[in-house]
Amino acid sequence: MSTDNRGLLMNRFTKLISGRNIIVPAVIAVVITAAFFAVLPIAGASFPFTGDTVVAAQHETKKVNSIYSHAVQSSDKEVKKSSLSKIKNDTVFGEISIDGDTKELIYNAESKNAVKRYNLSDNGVLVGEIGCSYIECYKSDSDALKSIRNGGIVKIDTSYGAYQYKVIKTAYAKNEFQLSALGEDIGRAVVLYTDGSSSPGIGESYYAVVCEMISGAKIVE
Amino acid sequence: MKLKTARKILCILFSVLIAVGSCLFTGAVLVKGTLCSEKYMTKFFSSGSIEQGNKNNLENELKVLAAQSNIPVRVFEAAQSLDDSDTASAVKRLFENHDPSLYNKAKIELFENMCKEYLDGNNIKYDDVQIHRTAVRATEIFANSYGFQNTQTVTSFIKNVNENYSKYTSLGLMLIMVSVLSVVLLFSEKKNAVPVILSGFMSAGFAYVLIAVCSIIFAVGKNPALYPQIYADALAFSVRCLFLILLVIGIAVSAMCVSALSSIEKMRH
Repeated sequence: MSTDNRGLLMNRFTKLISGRNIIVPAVIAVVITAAFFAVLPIAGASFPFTGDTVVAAQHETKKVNSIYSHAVQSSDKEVKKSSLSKIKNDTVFGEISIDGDTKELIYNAESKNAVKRYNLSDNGVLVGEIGCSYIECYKSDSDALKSIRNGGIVKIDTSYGAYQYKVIKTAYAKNEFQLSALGEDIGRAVVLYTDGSSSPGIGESYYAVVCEMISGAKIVE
Repeated sequence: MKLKTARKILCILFSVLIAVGSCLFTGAVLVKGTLCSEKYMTKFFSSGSIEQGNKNNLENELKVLAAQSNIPVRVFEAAQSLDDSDTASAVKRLFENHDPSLYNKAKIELFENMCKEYLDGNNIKYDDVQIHRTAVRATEIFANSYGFQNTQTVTSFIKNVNENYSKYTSLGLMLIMVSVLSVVLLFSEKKNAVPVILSGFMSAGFAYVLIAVCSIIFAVGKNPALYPQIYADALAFSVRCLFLILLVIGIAVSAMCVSALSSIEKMRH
């Protein structure tokens, strides 16, 4: 390209970008962009997913933690609840043995993490504490629970001590209300429960084993 | 002199109107063709990670149901394999204004029949009510894994866009046409109107580029209030792609206008 041609091209380009041809559209574009971003928060309010979180599907993804190490024995007769660190949800913190059948004990787990485990519900009462702890197991894992009878021993090892509970009654509860009444008036109780029906499918009632503490460090306030 | 100044101001005004009309038209077409398009959204919501996430969730929840009901997982999985509905069909139902939750009677019956078939085949006694309850739960699990819940805001947004689409496009086109005609009428020598019209479209092109670039930089629509996260990521990606499309359109329009103006300048010289 000769120097003359290059000069001509540069001249045209300079004219193009310095003249109204480019400057005016650029200014208009800036104004429109500014207007767009000014209006966006108002117009955006009509867009979905800008307010409260919408749960489009139920994907539970919590992982199981563990704070349990086997054969933890406490020689203390009493343990202050405040000295125990708070057990987080979905944490394996012990195991339960019924007639030689042992399964992990998990704290307030989501459904998938409770499979093949005993799941302690979060009602504020720990194993060893005054009141009643409710522990659920699924129907497919409930053979040992359904076979234990009055006077049988349930061993519960936790991260803070080992406990023994004696079965004082077995019962069927038609609903959660009846189930929650089963552990009343027992000093330190554990109610282990599962689906009340023996045939396949999800039943409406509960089968419960009510136990009273006979050994282990008492949890006190 | 005064007339010339007035014509200049009018030219700028019509350029602005052409640009605004173009933005209105393109914006409406783009939103309708992307965020409100079944085909476009299916591409994002049928991605491998979402399908895998849904599949994993379904498997985990069916294991729970198997533990709760004492019916093997394979029975539910067999029933599931007979039904080809997945996330793509949920998206389709969403855009067809049907219930996208995928919870329906046919699905319950399918699970119920499969469970009964298995139990009868193995001579296991069962209670009809309990099996029905299990089938209902299995359908809920399936719906929670593959279907879309709580979609009222989405359906009303899609409905709103579909209802107003023709309004916005017509308004945009009308603005462009009226402005173009007015510019043509302003000049006795018609070829002088062309740079003004081109300048309007160039403004629109530049605006597309600026809006798209700023939106990408400031991450507009990056964190939609949507759970689970893989759904939110898919939606954010679809919005990002919308801005990328806008960027490409903007560059193309700008390049065409600059090139046309350059040619006009060349002819003048």
